Amino acid sequence: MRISTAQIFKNGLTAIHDRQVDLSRTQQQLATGKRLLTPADDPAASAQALKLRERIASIEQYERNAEQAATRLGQEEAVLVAIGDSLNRVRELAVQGANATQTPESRLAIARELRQILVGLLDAANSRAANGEYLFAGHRSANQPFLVGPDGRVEYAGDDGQREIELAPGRRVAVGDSGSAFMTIPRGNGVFVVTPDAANTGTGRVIDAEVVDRSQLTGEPYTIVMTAPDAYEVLDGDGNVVATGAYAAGQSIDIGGMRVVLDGEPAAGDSFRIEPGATTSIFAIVDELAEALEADVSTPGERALLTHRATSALLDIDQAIDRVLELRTNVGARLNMIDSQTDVNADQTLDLTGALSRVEDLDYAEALSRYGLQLAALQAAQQTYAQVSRLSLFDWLK
Amino acid sequence: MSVFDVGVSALFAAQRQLQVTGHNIANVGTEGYSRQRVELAALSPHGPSYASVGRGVEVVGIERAVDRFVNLRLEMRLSAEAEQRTIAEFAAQVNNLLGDAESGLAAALKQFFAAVHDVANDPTSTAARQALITQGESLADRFAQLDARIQDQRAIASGRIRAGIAEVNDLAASIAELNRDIVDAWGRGGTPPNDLLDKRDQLVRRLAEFLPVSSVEQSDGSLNVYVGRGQALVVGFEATTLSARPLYGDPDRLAIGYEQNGRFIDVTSLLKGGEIGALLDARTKLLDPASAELGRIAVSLAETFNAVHRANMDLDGELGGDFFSFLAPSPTPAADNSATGLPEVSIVDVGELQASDYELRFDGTSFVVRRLADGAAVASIPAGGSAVVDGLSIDVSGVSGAAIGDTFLLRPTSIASMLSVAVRDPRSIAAALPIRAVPADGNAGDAEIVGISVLDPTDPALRDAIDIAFVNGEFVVDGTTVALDPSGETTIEANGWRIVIRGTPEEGDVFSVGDNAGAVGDNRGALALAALETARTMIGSTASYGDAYAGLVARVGVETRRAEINADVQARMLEEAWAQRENVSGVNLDEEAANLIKAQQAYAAAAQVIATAGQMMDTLLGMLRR
Repeated sequence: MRISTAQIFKNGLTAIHDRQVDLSRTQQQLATGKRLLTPADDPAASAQALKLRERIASIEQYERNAEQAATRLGQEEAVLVAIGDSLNRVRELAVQGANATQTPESRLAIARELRQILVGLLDAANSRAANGEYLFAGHRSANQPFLVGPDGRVEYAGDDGQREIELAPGRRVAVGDSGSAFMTIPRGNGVFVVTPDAANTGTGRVIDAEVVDRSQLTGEPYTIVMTAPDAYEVLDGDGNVVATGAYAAGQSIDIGGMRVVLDGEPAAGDSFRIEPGATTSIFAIVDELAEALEADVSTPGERALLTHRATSALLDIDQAIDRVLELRTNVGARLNMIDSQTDVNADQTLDLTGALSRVEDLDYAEALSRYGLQLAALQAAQQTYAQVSRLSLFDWLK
Repeated sequence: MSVFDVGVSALFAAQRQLQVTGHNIANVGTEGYSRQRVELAALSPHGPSYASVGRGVEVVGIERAVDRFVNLRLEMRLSAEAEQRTIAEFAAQVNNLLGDAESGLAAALKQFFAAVHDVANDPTSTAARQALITQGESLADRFAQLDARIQDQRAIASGRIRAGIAEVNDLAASIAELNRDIVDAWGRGGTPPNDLLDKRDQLVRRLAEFLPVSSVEQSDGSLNVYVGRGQALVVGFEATTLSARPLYGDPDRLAIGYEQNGRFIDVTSLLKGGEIGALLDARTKLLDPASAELGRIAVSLAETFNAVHRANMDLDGELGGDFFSFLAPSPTPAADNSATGLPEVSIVDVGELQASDYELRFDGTSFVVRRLADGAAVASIPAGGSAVVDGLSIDVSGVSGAAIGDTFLLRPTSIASMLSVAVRDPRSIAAALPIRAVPADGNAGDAEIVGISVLDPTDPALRDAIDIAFVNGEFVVDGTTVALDPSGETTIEANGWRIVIRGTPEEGDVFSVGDNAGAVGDNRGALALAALETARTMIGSTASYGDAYAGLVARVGVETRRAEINADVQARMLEEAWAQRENVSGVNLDEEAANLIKAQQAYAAAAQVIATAGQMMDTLLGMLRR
């Protein structure tokens, strides 16, 4: 085979050029620390890297969401703690106020403290988040949710909306509770409440009210009316008599799965209303308790009414405290959920970053040894070129 | 016959050999030069004789060392290498553009949806809302930038096509001229004009880089040259002048052809391979599909995001408007259409959209719709009718007076550069739901509302207050009854909304649906917008926006990889073909040095023969003198 002189030079140059391309590529890999310089280097791995980077960025977003959620829930919890403390103080005051040793003056003092607590409760329920939103307004977070109406009652202007924040794809956590939670405290034993009529003249009082058979609950209101000091009848919501009986103090009256125990000496014509599903608000409880303490207590009837209002307030306060505890438990559970999701996210980020590194990062040991080899190959190509190109028969023609 | 004559013939032969060797040495660096060799023949004796001696040596010709088949292979390799190298260049450009982690679309999409999440986290924050508008604008910018870079590549490709065509025309004219010179020289001298032939071969090789060449040598020495798939370029002394002209008013969408009797003959489909074929392919197979895919992602994002946004409520209690706005280019008629009016195109199903442009061609009775990405005829629309194709509604009733061969270009997804954010006021970002549904206070059952969504924001009664009552074991809403679903979740649709109720209501329970105006802290709408990031809204509900983009990057990556490997392979094969040509035709200086010595010695020997003949003559004359 013959080879042309031009070809000898070209081959030598091509060899040098190819080695230089290899070397420059390795150099670029070493400089960037990346195995993949463009997607064409390994299309499958590049697509994977794109996906991995996207997922890592997603998790970063979800981390931001989690922080936001935790901040908000933390604010809610602080407010709930304050409300719970206030309610516990209200409970102490209710017990004190019902005590027969209280004088009218001391009762008024207690009532004054209650009214102060009420203002504090209202402020707490109208708390704002750092961004100025009302915490307990549902979705209507730009408007003050709890307002004192013309009748002195606190009204709720928010809605039942609950904001949710996404912690992971498809996994959402509620970052607040609607203020209606404060407005729908079940009264009495949580199912029904028995209220003596304000016009009662006897000393009859409710000493127990409980559910004995849930299956018989009708949800209908009833009224116990004393037809005589020792006889009663029970009317349903439409005024029809559904039961009659003889009255004895401490004896239980069962109606529709509910048991009511009356004590004392009711007068004829006195009545007791049984209201199922009645609800009240934490503000009304405090307000009504203060009202009861501010009222005159001179007759036995008034005395009995105060006792009744203080005891029923105690029942309501317990329900309210339960509700606040329930809210706090929920908040705690949500914070736990956020914590565990944050842990999961951190683990995932670590895994994904590792996977990304395996896919696109350079193995320095391998790259450096390759670099050495390519350097040697380039030197060899240059030397052989220099030597071969010097050979010529013309040198020997003299 | 004298010894003198024999010596002189040898002297001449050696001299000619020295000349040719010198010519070879002189052209060692000349591109396309084929080494030459002196053909010698012994001169036979005059007349028959038993002890005849020849009359010396004769130069019968100077031959080029050429192997026709080696040259043909080299021409083929030149075309193939130029084609693959050019494709690889463009693929690498698009590949780098799309694949870059910073400048690609993936990062911009991610940032945009992060801003949506931030609005969901804090829906009343004007800052978060403003950030969403800004991120929306930078996403739109990113689409535009990416598309602009692709359009740049199209412009570069068409510029190179024009330059290539000009060069091809020059080369064709030169070959035609050389044909004339060669025929002349051959006819006059009777021997092949070696250096002219080398020059013509060299021009053909230059031509082969632009377009694949096949050539047929005629008996008179002229060469007929055909390019691509048999388009005649040079016949005898005549060369065809090719020209490029834009289609559909797009300066970068070129058709290549020539003028004949005042008509433009389009031969684009014949021009495959070589640099020009690759440049044409780069546009149709690489750049246009990439641009159309970007556009498809943009149009899908805009349409689906807008649809959800329109079903949401903004901070002022108004239903949301379009978040993104865009303007799809209107169909473009071909320059020589006789039809008036334009077809109308609108998007009916984002999920069915294809990343492609379309061509409508009138065949006399109907418009045949051809999808340009794969060349498939996907529909035929009778004149005056309409059809739904690939998620597009195409209506040709506005086109009149169409003649056979009239064409229109449709680019329904070419909106990547036209996307913009329509929302200006942060308060107009709709992050809430326009309706609310609550169980009435006195409800005795445990049924609760677990889902609420807007199906048709244009329903005039959407936000009307209305009660869903549970009567006789059925839900009653606005006079219609919906049975309790045994699965425990009942879906009720009315007034353009859908509500899902879970659990069992008691007789007489009521759920009130009504206007949600004032619920500024509601983020359910923003959550629905954020969910679009991963929702499979594209390609027949199989891909999210990010998936579609990753698919594009992977496709271009694979394409680039293939092109680079092909380019490498072709480069090696071209080198091999060059080496073979050099082996046959190239000059080796050592060989020439040896030839030089040989010719020198032959010359010396021939001179010696003449000297000897002279001495012989002297001897003879001296004998006579005595």
